[in-house]
Amino acid sequence: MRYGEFVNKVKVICGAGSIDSLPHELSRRGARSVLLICDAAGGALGAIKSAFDKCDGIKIKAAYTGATDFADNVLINELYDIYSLNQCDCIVVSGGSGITNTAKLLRMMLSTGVRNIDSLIGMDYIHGTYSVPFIAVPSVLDVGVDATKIAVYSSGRRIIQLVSDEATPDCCVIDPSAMKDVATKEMGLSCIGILSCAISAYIGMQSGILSDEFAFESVKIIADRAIEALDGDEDAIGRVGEAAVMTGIAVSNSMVGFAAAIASSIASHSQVRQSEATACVLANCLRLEAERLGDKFSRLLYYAAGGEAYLSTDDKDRADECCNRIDSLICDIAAKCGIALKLGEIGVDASAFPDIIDSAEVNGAILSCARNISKADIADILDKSY
Amino acid sequence: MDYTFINDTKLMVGESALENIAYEIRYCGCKRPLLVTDEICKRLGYLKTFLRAFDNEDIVFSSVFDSVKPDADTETCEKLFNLCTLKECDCIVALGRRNVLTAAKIARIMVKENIGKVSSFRGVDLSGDYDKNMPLFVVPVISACGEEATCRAEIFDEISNTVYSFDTAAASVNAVIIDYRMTDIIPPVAMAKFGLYALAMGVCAYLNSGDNTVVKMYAGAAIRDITGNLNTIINRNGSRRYRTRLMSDVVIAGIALSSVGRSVCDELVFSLAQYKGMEREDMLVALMPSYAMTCDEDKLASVLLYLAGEEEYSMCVPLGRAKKSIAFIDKLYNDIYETTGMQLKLRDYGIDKGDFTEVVSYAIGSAAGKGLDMSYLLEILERAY
Repeated sequence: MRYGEFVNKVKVICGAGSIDSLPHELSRRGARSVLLICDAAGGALGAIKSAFDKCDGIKIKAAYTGATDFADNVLINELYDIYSLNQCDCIVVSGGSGITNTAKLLRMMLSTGVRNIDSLIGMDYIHGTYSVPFIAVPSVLDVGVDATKIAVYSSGRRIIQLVSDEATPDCCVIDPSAMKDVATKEMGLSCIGILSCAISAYIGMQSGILSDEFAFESVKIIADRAIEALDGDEDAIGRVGEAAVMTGIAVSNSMVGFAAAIASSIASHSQVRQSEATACVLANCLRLEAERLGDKFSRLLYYAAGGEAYLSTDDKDRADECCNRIDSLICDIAAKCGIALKLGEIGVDASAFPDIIDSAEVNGAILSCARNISKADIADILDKSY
Repeated sequence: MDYTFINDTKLMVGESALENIAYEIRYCGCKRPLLVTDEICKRLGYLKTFLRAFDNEDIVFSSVFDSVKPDADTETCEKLFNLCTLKECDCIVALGRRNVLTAAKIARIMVKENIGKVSSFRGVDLSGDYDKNMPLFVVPVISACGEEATCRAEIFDEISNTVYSFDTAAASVNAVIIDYRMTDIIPPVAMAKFGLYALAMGVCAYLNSGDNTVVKMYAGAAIRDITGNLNTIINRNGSRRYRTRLMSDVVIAGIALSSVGRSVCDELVFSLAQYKGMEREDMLVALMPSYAMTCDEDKLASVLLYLAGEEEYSMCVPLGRAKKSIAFIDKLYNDIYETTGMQLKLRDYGIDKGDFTEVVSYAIGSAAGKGLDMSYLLEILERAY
């Protein structure tokens, strides 16, 4: 049996009203003074404030409520000063990947005692001596950001990725009320992102029996509940939030895979959002993977389309049918919230393809794919997705 | 969907897992580990094999304690506490079975709390311990017991005739390391026993998981892996791959079971262990099928997916799934019985029907058993007889 690891450092607290557990979770970790970092647009701000208003002994000492699409060193260092000046002793973050990465990196600084986030660049592993209590309340459903030990930020023109257990929150509180204000298009993109990451976690070389289960459940939730969530059903939104965290756990133990590698490369060379690029390339990437991993995709049909579709499809056709069903699910989600599914429509120019291919080919995520991905494969995906 | 789930133990499973321990120790910032093991590990050569994995590493064990008794006792835990303090150990590595695991977990709690006597823990609040001191690494030997990755530990103090039960983050384990080299003498009957034990823990956890999706994932993963491989595991005793899988299934199912509240089945198992001197593993295996019959039908129906796979689950009409789950479990038990002759009924363990009333009375006196109908518990025992 080849060597494999599985770890999930995050305590998951899930359900309506779970935001109310924040003061208790922080108090039991010895915290008294909270630094709240929250997207201005996030729906959780009121609920979080109200949870602390009800409690004695632990208070929000300082709050940063600004929006950021991408974490940067200036804001992270600024928050370090705010934290220190106000003598805070814990962090609560609520928002999307930009703000959550900001909080994760601030936690790394506080745990390691550095005063400038750039001082951690180049370290093999970042081990904290004291972990500041840290809780995330996702409000934007970004896949995995709340459950992984990776944090990304920009320092000038450089994009830096740091990896540390200190980046993983102690708790992830999934409360549907925090997510109810998510724009429909963002939720649609998140649903497609969850599908992409969950399937990659299942078909990747590093998958294991636990990451498989997390991936199956996430795919099933998206297949069964995504459209209801887009219609504003609060329970369905909560379930999609749950799928986002479970997918995060799955991919942090497996890898993000082929579609993410290409989408990341498209995003950096064409200045488009990675989530939009993922929506364009995912179906074509899966078809290519299914050629090699027929058995895995056959089994996945059950989770993507249910027992009836699984039984009514011949064994030999199941992998193909699985791709059809996922394709159709992506189209339904896209149609519901106006997501473009062609690279040309989101502003990608075909002249950028050679650069996109070059950088996608060396992306670490491609190395975890069960099949070898060649430049020709990437070019084919880009052409089909254009 | 209201639930909470926490289990941050890293599972390190497969070829060369032992060689990765040194990295983990260094990753936690530790340099002076205390190795805790027992006579069996020494005699059967596991200790030697384990130490060989450190030949090319810069980690040197500050101290090796190799005399944990077959039933861990408070005296051993206190010795370990003193050793840790004296030798300034900064982490613990437990190599062995349940006795070693228990001693190491309790020693860790003692060091974290700086309390040198187990009896002094009476009334101590252990609810808020989250610091990172004294990491604990566990290497199960021969087979796992299901408590490797849980926050639970229990020890009997003969002097005060008291059972000390701990359920605290201070008893949590940083990493469980599962390597085939630590499993190479398991006979088929023992393999069957551990496999069924993992299955019983997984099914009980699933049936009691309520809305907790994460527990279902852990329980489902263990059930799926066991049912898919148990016969192969028994018939190919020599296969490293399957022995390693079996051990990791026990650990995963143990995480699932420890993450749900104690069920009626747990109370009966506890009662049989406490008052009849039975092994908990054996009792859970014996009681699980009859307990499952009394559980929520929807849950029993949905566990079929993990027991039988997507194809059989889809083919079975929804109303028939609960029955099919029971039939599946029965068939698996029968197959195991025919292959190994393993004891699977209460009567096989010498339990007398006349003892049932007493066993049930103890169970009803417990927290989970309060308010339960005696005839309900008796029915479970009768069926398992």
